[in-house]
Amino acid sequence: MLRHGIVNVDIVGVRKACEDALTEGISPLKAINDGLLEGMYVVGEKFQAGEYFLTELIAAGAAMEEGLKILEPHLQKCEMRNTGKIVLGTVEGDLHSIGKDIVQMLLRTTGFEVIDLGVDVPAQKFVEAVRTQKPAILGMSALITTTMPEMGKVIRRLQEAGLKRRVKAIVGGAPLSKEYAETIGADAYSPDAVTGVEMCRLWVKQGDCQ
Amino acid sequence: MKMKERILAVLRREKPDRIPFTIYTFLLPRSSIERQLRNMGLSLVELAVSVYGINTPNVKMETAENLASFSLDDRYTCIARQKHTVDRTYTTPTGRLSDRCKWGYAAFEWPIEWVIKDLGDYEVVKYVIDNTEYFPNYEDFVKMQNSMGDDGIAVMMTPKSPLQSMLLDLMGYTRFSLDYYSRRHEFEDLYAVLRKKQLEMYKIIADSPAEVVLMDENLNGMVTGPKLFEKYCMPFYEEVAQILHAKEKILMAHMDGKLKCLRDLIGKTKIDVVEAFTPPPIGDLQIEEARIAWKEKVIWATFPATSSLERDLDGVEAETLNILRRVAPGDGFIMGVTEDIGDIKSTRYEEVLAAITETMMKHGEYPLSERLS
Repeated sequence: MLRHGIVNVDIVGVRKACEDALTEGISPLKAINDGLLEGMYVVGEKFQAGEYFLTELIAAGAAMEEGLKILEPHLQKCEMRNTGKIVLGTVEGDLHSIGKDIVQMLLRTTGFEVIDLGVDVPAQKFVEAVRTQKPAILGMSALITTTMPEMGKVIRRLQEAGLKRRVKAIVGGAPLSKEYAETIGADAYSPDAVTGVEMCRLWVKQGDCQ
Repeated sequence: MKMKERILAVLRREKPDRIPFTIYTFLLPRSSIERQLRNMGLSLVELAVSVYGINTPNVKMETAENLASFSLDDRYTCIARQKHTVDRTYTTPTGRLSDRCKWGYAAFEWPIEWVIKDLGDYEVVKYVIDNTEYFPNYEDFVKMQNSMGDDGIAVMMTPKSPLQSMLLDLMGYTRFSLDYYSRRHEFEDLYAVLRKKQLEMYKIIADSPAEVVLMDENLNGMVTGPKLFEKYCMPFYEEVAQILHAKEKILMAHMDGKLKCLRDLIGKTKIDVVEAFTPPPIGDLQIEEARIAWKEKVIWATFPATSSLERDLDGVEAETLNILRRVAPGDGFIMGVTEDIGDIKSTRYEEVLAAITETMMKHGEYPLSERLS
């Protein structure tokens, strides 16, 4: 029912199914992994396949968050999910948030702690966030061709501050390319949200991030 | 043909003498270069003036503008413009609302805090919309048309359709998505009020001197999706088209996002012109595919910003020729600049515009040949 509720974007149904799972003595970790997360994977696949769109993705993510609010307080300390920490933002001069928000939603549902700096983020704010939050990964987005160079500026500032070695930088946005990402010194370019999240998970899994 | 005549010929599906090349006036600041480009054949599109006025009795709107200080040279750059924010509050007998906007990259307001923040705001927003009175106010538009002369066209730009307005102007897509799935009743009620009021507005526009109406849809299929587009946008376009076509107006919609998933549905709408069509990599639909799917529609495409920024001037010329080849013989096609294609204050920007204009003038004669070189 949990998986079904997420896939069918039934926020009320997910809430009830979580409460039912606890009443029936189902392990909260199992409910999260086999129910909520499995459901979100299906939603992610449907999004990737063009069957679901942003509205479904956001509402399914919200349903998952509702479910987590009920289940997480019942987890043992050793069961707490934390895949890694990531700082995200859209670069200065750019107010587009859709791509960044999709990535954020998918990262959160796969257990990442996401620090979202929002849109129109100056380079110095990214650098400060890396310094103070100590994330494993920094994600930057740009949708306007004229704001793409801001990504390179952030990476240069991180290098100057001696922080680049601490963090993997991944960039995305419609006008970008793999070649462009390489020229600005990013560690990876993601052509879409699902690929980006997979890349982040892989980095953490392989211990590529500090 | 003169520039205005040429644009209108394409919009009316008549044969032009050459493919028009246009730019929004706010992307071409007045200067000697601007005059030179116009003389070369670059046509203007003015969006700034309305044909109606608005009264909102019982609604008190207060505005606080936070003006950023930036140098005169920076006034056209997007980074400088976005430091300028506008806070608005609306006080009504049913409650208070507030929102915050930045100046967007194309010199339009871009909400960063929306008026609908929780369930209680629905009733207040509905009150504001329902209490809006539209009245004809053609004088300024006629002045604008006259001052534009034959250099281009003055377009009546209208708000987004009700669904797109809820999504982008009133609540943002996070609340929009949640409320669509969990507060459908309130969602539908608000949609109905918006629809009713906008149709009143379109009746005034239909009687106005504006020949061309541009719905500011900012449509992106990845966000709106086919299900919502079919259920809400398409029937509304149909109603608006009926009102406007009865008075021989041309209906355009600003559709500058990813449209592949909406390709066939857009083809079924009564919209005459897909304006600001954006090819890959920003959009996701190739121009040839769009032209096959939308045979009955004019495509007003934007010159790809990626090409203008990443290529040298020979490359810009080559890309212009490439587009002309791909749309040959060129029926129902206009090339435009509808987004920032570079830093407006730079010499490079002027050079890019000059390169496209020159190529369009040299090779853009209708009918286009597929063997342009």
